Amino acid sequence: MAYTETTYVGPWTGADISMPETDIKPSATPFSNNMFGRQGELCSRMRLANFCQAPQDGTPVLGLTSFIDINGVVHTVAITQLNLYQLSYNYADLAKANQNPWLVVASLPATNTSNIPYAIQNLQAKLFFTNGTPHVWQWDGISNTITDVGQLATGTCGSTFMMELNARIVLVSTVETNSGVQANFPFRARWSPTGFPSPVTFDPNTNLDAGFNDLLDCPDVLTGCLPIGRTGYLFRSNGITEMIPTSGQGNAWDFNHLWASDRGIGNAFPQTIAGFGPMGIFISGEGIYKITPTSFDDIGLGATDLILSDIASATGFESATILPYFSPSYPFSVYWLNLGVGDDTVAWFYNIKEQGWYRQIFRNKHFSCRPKYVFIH
Amino acid sequence: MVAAFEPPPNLDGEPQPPSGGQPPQNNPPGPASNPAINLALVTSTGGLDGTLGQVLIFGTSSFSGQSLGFNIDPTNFNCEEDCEYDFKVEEVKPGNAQTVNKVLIRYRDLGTVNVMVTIKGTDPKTGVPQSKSLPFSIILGGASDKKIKSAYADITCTFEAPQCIITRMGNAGPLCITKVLMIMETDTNPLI
Repeated sequence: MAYTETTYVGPWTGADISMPETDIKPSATPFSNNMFGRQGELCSRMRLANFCQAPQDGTPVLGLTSFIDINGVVHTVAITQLNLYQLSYNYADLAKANQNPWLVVASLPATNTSNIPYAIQNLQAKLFFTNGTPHVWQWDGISNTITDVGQLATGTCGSTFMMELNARIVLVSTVETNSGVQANFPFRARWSPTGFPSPVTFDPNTNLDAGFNDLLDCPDVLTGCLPIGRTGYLFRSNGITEMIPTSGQGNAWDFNHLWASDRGIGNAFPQTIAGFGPMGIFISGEGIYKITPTSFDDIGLGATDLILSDIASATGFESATILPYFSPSYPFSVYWLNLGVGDDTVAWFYNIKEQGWYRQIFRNKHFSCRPKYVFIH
Repeated sequence: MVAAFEPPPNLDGEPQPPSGGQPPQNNPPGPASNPAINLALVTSTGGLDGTLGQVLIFGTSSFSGQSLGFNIDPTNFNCEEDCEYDFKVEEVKPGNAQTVNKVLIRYRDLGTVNVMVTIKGTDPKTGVPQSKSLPFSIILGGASDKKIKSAYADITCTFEAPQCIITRMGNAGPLCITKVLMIMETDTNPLI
């Protein structure tokens, strides 16, 4: 008999089924649940605990963020289908008394039934948000009203996706009304004038500096957007289009299709794009990619089959975000993908620095918004 | 219990001198609708200090339909769900049986945690899948001193291509593994 010691030690590389389970690295796993590897340690997932009651109007929370107004005051806001709320300064006392800590700021139209997560931007010390309805709402943190800044000459506009680029707000996959008639434009990008002057408008008929472009030379529709530096990336189901600011003479942007074929690498699953600094991650039909100004890498590696299999099994929503840290003293940069599967949420954590995928499961819960590091005091 | 929904309070009031924000019980009076007002000089509506944060997420219970806000606490690894980690399947020498004698777990002591060690493989003679777990869980930690310590699973079984699996039930404590050693003897007589 021959004596053998097999050692399993980090740095852990996460899920890997690219080879048979007899031939993967010792640092990889053919299957795991609710564990993750970080700095050479395999840990059980951080605890998900009840924190507070949800806002009291009974509709799902579709947006969560913190922003700083022009007075330097921090506001943590939760946005439901029907209302904009902010967290009370006395949250801790209210939570102890089992009272709701969310204070109503303003109401959205009662006809809003969209369940799409809000696209949120914090610009010019104001909060902008839209979610597939023909409105772009703005709150300044000072007044008790929200303003619809999605103005057109004969109607209003909003979108499913939104970004800021070159001092303009860019709406992607727009929803617009014209003389009271609402229509969807899933191939349209519309932008505001530079610096977002008052009166606000997205209509070139009102301000020549605003405008729109329909990507009619592509066979697919817009499924997301991501600004990286001075370049905006418009994601389609099967391709990517660069949106590059020009010198301002003539067209405001140069639209460059990286590819415009009927099959190609694109964002196949809306709401799964996430960006952080000079990097973005998105999921195509056959792989998971990281995009930077200078690179384009397949990061799915050995976990691609497992992740795409879970996506194919999803019966509900899908969404993703990048968390650069879970607290200032716990810098753990992850791409967090949530998938509704039956009664549960299956999640995948991608350790960005150590490049490993780890599967998580949250039983009997469906998340309605992306996780976010927000201020609670 | 979720409070009944109430319409927003009347927040109209006189413009206030700039204060950089106050910690009110409710949303304080905001400015009247006067376009001549310089918002930079007007008190904010509500607000926080911005000194303490957490990762929050909202979700709905599949059972009750109730919506709740949840937080993820990076100081607490006592996961509320069951955890499992499967290591690589070890052939060592394909076609030969392995006898596992012991599994050593090196872990960081974050607190008491109960884990189960299982060895899976196939019967060397019949090829039928087999598994063996310890009859009781291994208890790791307890001092919560974050030092790296050792624990042994004295588990003996003979399989072809054994695989070590560590599991932990939900709420069974915070698990942090730094290294695992599986100690085996290989039967040098091939099965075939």
